[in-house]
Amino acid sequence: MSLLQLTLRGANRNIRLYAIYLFAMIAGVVIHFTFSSLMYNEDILNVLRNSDMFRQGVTIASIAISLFIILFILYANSFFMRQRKKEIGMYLLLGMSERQVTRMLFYETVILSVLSLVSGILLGGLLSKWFGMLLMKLMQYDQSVSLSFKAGAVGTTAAVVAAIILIIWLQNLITVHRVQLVELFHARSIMEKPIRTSAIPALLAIILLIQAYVLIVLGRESIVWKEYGLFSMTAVSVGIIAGTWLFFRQFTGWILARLGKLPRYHEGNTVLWTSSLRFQARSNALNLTFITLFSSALILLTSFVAINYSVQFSATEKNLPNDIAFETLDGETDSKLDALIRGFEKEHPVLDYRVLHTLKADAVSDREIAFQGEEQFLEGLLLVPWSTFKEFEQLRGHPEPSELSGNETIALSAGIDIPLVHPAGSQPVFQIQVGSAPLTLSIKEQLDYSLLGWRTTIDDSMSSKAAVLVIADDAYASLRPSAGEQTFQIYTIEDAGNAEELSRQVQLLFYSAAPEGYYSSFADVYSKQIESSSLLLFSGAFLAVIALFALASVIYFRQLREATDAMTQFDTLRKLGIRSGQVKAVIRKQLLFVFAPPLVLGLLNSWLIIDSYMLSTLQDYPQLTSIVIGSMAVYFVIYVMLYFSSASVYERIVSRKL
Amino acid sequence: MQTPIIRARNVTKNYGKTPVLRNIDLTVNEGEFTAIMGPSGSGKSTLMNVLSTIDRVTGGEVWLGQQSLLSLGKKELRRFRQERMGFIFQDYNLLDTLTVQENILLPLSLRGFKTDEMKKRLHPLVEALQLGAILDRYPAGISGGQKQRTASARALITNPAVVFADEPTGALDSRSATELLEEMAGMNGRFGTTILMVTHDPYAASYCNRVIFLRDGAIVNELYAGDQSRKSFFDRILESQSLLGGGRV
Repeated sequence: MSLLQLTLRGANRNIRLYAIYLFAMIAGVVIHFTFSSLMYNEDILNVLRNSDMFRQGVTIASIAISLFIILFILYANSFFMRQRKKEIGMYLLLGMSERQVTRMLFYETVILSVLSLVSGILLGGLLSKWFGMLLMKLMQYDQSVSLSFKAGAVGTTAAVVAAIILIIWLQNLITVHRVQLVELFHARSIMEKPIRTSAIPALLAIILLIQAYVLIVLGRESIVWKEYGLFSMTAVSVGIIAGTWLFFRQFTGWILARLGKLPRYHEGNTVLWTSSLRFQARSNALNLTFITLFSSALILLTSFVAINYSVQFSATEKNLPNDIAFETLDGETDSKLDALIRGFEKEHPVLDYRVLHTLKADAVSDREIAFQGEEQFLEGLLLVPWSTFKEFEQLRGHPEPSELSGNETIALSAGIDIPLVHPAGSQPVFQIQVGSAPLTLSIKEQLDYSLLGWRTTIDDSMSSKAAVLVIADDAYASLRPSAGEQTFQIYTIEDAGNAEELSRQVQLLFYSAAPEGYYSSFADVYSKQIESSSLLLFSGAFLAVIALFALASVIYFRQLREATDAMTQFDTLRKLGIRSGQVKAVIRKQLLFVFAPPLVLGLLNSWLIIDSYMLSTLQDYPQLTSIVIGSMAVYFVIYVMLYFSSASVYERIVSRKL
Repeated sequence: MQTPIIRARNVTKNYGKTPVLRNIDLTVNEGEFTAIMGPSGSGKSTLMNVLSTIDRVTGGEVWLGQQSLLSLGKKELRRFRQERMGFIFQDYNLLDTLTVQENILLPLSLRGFKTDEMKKRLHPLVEALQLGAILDRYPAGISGGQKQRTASARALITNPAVVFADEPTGALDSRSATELLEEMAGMNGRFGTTILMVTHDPYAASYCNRVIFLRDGAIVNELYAGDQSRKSFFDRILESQSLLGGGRV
């Protein structure tokens, strides 16, 4: 019998074991091919306005996905090899060399890989059509995507599979060389030792976790983060990672030990479900830590991309409040621009037109006092009277702004993390110069608000915005005679999101007359923004699905293994007269003890981080909380389903007759 | 004239700092059916492992025939095992994916034997071990006794100089155990196969020509069956065992 024949025989009879493994491989290929064929699909590339960015984004995402798949297959393979340790040992004992055994396993890998490559590509091709259409829908394009198998996509997928074959070969090489023949003999059944636990490290786990949580809850605005940012960052990461690990290695073991000391410990089935857990603490610790941290990251990722997608429409509108806005030049150019805009009467009729009057000023104090991240603002300052501000607020459907008196000012610090209202008496002083006269203002409020949005050009947008101060009408009137005035032309048009062509022509004309002037258009940012955040949502969701898949399989494989190890124990228990109902209860309790903590810790970690860092800075969007809770609920449900299916797999395995 | 096949001189084996075997001197002659007995933890399995090259000695020397095992490299040890030794395990270690016949012939397949030669060797074994009816079945579908007979056939098909059996009856019911032991004794008588068996079962040991008792890693007693009946040999083993280990096995 040749090696190849032996391989084929093995695969043929061990179909169940191979099926799980093959399924993992095919799933990996399908995911990879689906994703990479999007990158090469011409239907998609043609319709995109910024296809370079798309390619870049998809490339990064597909690298992340490949790494995931490789890790995942490695895990599946190590499980697979562990199940076959005895078989390999037997080959070695019967005189095969390590090299022959490795070669046999290599044949196997190649056969499985080719099988999964072919079937995965066929399936993935179909899926990529659907996913492509979903992506188009997210980007709000009306485009159908055709079924295609591009050489580039097939090539990259094949390359990933080749990398997998190589890595598996290495992994198998190591495994085969590590097989000890002694393990074939019954005398050496290796038992994990129960871990020694004590109260101090168990307590340390809780302290580490709590200090991390406290730091997170304190939030970015607190003194610890502002003054000792690096330290706090380290404390949080170390606290969460080390705390979680210690929690599983020491704390849970300690709890189990305490349970063992309870007076009624020997009643019921407590002995049964706690005893084997004590032996698993060592190997479980790493696994459960991984599951916890991984699930936190997963929820964070999903929430982040979902939030990003859902705020993009309103965020763009907020940052670029004017459909078309530019500074007034000379009369001739202005009327040319006006004619140009009104020339698009059909697609984008002008809905509203007004002129914004402002006064030019310069800062004497550090601008950072009034404008957070002042380097993002255009040079100089613009002063706007309160009544004009009110007029714009009404136009945009916002409530009336608070009134100003004397030298009070409202700084429109667009992009400020947390809007500030300074009570009378502790208002920051801000000195400016209007014309040649100095003026001292006291800042009443700093708002996250744009009156004049980001300056946009054809290839650059969102690099600088206007620094606007609202002052009282009286103050404005008295400054006016001595100050230089600056006016802006502001147009509101129909269907502004798709007015890219209009904007392109207008800014061409505008910048040729005033290369350094202020011009801002909603359309310039909107189309790119929607593409990039759709892509982010899409890739993020894709990654999340894979991650969930990987997580599920880590859990699943582990239960398979543990159940296999526990078979003899349950066989003995059955001989001692345990009923099948009791077996079920023992397994459920035992697995609950393993499953529940990672879920709780994972949800807690991610909720605290999201709540303190994402939601608090986005208070204007109350719907976000429900998005986050929604994604957590989805995760919760999937996890609970995993628990039940693991429990039933476990039950099935241990109830098999030996 | 008896030819020694296994010779162990002053063999010691430590696991970490714990001594498992202490200064073992042992000679096994060609054609002997020897049992190694002793309470658990006495080092009987370890002794078998070092004699069969599965494990390395810490001190002392082991010869198989004229060959010193210490001087062999990994590759040579493998060849040596393949050509001169057969193994029977408590839990059979059959490959579930091969039929009974394929399992038995596997050592020969791996060594590149021709079909005619394989068939020639298979035939007497199949007859002696009564495997004819199940040759095309898979291990999952046959009884424990049948599995162990298959494993024995696999161990014997290479005509090894020594067969090492590690608790071969440990997982069998008493009827299958008796059958297997009778067959092993038969093989020993018919083909002159040298068998070294580790067991804690005095009944299994009573089928051997010779029983070696181990305690705390040292040989403490030795019995020869000689011409006495199996029954009286069994009684002597029991008696010796109770003297040594207080009946604890």
